[in-house]
Amino acid sequence: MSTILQVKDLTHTYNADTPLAKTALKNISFSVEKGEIVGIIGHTGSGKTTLVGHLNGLLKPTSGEIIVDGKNIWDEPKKISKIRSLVGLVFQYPEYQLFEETVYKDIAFGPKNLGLSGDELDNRIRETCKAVSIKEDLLYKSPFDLSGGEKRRVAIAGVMAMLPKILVLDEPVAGLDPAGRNSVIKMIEDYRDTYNATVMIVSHNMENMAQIADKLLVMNKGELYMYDTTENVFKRGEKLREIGLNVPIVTRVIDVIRQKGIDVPDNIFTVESAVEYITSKSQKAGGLDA
Amino acid sequence: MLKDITFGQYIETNSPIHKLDPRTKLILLILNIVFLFLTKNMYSLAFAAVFLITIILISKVPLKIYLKNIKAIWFIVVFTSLINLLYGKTGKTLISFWKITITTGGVYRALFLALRIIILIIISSVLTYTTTPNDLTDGIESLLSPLRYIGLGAAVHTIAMMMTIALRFIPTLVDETEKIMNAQKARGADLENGKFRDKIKALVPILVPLLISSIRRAYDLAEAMECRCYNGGVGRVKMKRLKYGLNDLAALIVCLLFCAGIIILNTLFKQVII
Repeated sequence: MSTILQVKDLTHTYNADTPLAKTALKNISFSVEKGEIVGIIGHTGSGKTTLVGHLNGLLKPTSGEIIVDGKNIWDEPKKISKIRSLVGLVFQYPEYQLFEETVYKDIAFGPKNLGLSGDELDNRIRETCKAVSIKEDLLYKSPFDLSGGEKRRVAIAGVMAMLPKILVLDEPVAGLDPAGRNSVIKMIEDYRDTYNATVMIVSHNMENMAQIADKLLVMNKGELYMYDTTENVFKRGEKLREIGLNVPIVTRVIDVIRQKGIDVPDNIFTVESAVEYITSKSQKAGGLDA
Repeated sequence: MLKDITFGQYIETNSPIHKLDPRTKLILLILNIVFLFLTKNMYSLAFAAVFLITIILISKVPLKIYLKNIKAIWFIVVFTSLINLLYGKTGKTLISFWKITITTGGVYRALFLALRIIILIIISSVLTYTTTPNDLTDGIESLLSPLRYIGLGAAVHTIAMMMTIALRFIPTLVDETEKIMNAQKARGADLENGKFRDKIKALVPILVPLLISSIRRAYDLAEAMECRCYNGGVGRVKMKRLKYGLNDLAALIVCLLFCAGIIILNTLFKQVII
């Protein structure tokens, strides 16, 4: 595996040199490997969104470096818009940025801005939609006639069609029903698998994080609090609770079971793995209905 | 860029001007503007400028914030000055080439108008900086209330309510615009470069979502208001009643002195610029 993103000593101060100065990020350093899915968790105001804004150059660091694919993105400030095709950023509630008459045209907006046209553009759109299972018949509908979940998926596809090497999503599942959440999660996984891309997701939803993230980056008050594999982070529930976060509900249930004196492993973070463990145990014991 | 829009913002400094009744401030502002347009020479305009600076000092709102407003309208100032500079044909000729002649009269007029517009903008922003939007609309509603005698009572309330809502949503929409701009930039939209035509085209991806979200907000707000039994102005009472005080009287006197000053200076010095 090779490192695709490196953040070195990143500090960001809003309104620097004024009485309103507020440091939102303090000396953040971490690196992300190609193909990883990294979850960013933290409280409101912990600096998650500020961090994400730096990754594609919408915000300029007060000090520190952001190195994407071996190159400091601020080496040539005039070419900062180029970085936006390398690092795709999906904002919160991306469905509010839809504007075209048809879904097809809206998805085409990003790739078109990259200079694609004609067959190349058409292939790109169809290929991306196929990869993330957006149905062909959706393409010719107006984005405003879709359901909330569909709108969200189409808007995310609009960024994916630019084929960014790093896809960054800010709260991609916020406000969706469980089915919508699952389809967005699946879409993100599909994108990673098809294009061997790196994904970073900001979320409050620990359950979804446990489902999808390889690593978790925990932010607290502008500082990097923890950065480790999802398993190692969720194993240290105490440390998460100290800053007001928590582990997935199913892990809490398992913890309660352990406190009752039953020996259960401490690496169960999703409902699926819990079900798997319990069925395997009960089968060993002769099955539940025995 | 968008953060420079400070018009319509309330800035709390708790100055004597903040404590005036909004109706007083509205009436005095209108009076000020009328007399600002009655200034006929540099002396009365200078008097108006001095008066304005005094008001700014009393308002305790930093001068920097006022100047930001000028930044937003510099184009209008420059444009009107330029037109007057080129079309003023009185006085001595300073420069003359091709079809353009610049005269001393033109220079005077250009300066005069520029200063007048700047004073006009700043004095209007004194009102919005020192009055909360709610007070402002309460004031307008109260000033227009005599219209109910000709059967326009409901309309007065509706207009006041619309103004309150419009003012309330300026910062929200500025925020929203910034968010949408960032989102489209992230999709590779180029908002800064390109020809004029391209720039106009680049606005579509911003304006369409902005319009849609405004309509959505309007529906949501209307529903929320109906849920709280809002049914227009009929039978509605105010929590805070407006009341004139001695300070309002003092402000009125100061303002009348200003008006008198303008008239005196206008007649004392006959040099008429416009």
